[in-house]
Amino acid sequence: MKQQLPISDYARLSDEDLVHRYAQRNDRNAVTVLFDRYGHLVLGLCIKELGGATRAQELTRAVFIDMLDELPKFRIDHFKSWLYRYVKQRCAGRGSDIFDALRSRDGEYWVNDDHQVRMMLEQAIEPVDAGGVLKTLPQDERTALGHFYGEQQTHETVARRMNSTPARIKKLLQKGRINLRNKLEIIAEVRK
Amino acid sequence: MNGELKHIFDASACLTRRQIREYIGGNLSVEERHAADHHLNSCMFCSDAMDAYQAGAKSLAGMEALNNGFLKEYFARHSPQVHLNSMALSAVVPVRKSRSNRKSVLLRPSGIVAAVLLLAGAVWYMEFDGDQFKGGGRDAAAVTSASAAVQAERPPVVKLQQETIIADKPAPSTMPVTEPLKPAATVVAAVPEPPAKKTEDRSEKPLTQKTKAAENTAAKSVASSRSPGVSHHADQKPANPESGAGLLNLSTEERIAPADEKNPQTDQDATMPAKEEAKDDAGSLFQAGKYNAALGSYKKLMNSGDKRTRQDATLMAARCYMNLGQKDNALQLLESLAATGSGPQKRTAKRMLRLMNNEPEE
Repeated sequence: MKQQLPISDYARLSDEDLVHRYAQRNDRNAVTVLFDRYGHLVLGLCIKELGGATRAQELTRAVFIDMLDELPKFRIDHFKSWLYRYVKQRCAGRGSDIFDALRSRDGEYWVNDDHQVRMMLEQAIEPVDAGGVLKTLPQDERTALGHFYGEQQTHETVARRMNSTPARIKKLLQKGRINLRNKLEIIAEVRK
Repeated sequence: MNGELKHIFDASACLTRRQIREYIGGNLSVEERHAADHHLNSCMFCSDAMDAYQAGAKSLAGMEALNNGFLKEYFARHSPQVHLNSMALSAVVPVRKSRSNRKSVLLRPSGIVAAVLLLAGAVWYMEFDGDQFKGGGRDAAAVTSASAAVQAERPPVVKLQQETIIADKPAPSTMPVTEPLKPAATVVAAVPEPPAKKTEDRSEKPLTQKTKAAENTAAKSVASSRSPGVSHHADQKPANPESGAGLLNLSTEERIAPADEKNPQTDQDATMPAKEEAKDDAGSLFQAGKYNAALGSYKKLMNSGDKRTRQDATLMAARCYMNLGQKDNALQLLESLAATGSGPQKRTAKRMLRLMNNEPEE
């Protein structure tokens, strides 16, 4: 008979492995590790959405308690994306129908998109003209992407150089990444 | 160049509490901070949480206070932890709970229900079968009761015979055992249902009061017998309605019945006017309280050839005895009348006997 994993070994398991261990084996240590990974993020998201720390803490507890019943019902490929959507909808005041909505869209999350882009770039036989793709982006986005990824700078540094704020730079970078991903996906489709 | 673009989409682990705390506190090196910013560009979860924690120190304190104690409490409150880790299948793809398990869970109660229904059906069948084997126990009873119901609609004599066979209930005392069939009008007039109830109500009163009431009523009955017919009965009013209410109704019915019975005898009895006068005299004496004189007159009338006159006289003689305090003689006359008499006089005699013996009205 196999022995149960030591607590320290749970940190090496992926989110999906932990979910699987709980759903299939009722391994409660797996849930505890998931909470240690994402509990503070859930709380932060609830604070941002709800505006109050007290209500956010209550909702955070409720999310994880309800999740104990719901996890075995799902086939979750990307737990973090699933949890993000779940918390957002709980904050929006939706009830038990959240899970129905999530069930129908299982696996179609934004995390998965990055993964697909990476796979496309790795498998591309012909190199992608990065300069040409970047030129199609808006100027501020292109500049922010160049400073941040090309020069390995932080948000604050880029913000100083662009006479902006770190928060605005973060938004620019996020939007630039999304636009760049969309362009690369179009290129990948054309090449097929 | 693909490597540079790929670097933009590199995945990294979410920020830990310590990283968030140090990021906000500005305690990260440039490389660490760039790595954190890199992750924040791609992870909306961490980015939103970071926005919240950067907004206020209170939020950060909430993060520090967050612990998994509630999960342990929840696990402790619910079923104890079962380490299924070692028993779990090494399935790679987790699938939803199989439907076979649900079916098996659903089959349990349905199986129990089916078993109960089968058992109930078997018991019912056995009972039904047993009834058939019992034979005619119930069937015979049903037939008997049905025949009794049919016979209840027949005339009293036939009913008496059937009741004797079935032996369920005794014949009602108001129905004469040996009484022959009467004309319909006579039977209707002889059924004193409402008056019987009134008599029953009055039966709780002392005997003397009832006896006096009966005496008054009987005296009036005798006196009114001179004018036969229902019309006379309709005009008749009791002299003392309160005291004679118990037997008054009965006596009025008695007055109707003799009128019907009397008609065929009118031609035969040539001495009727004389007897009527004697009755009137006796009745006058009785009402005057001269019970001895009245008793003598009634004794003469008791030898009359007319049965109805004889019975009336016997009844009144018994009342005279009662007023004279000779209860034994009164009882003797009433018993003889109840045994050999007929018609309303007989019923009146029986009622008087019951009143004297303090027996309940039937």
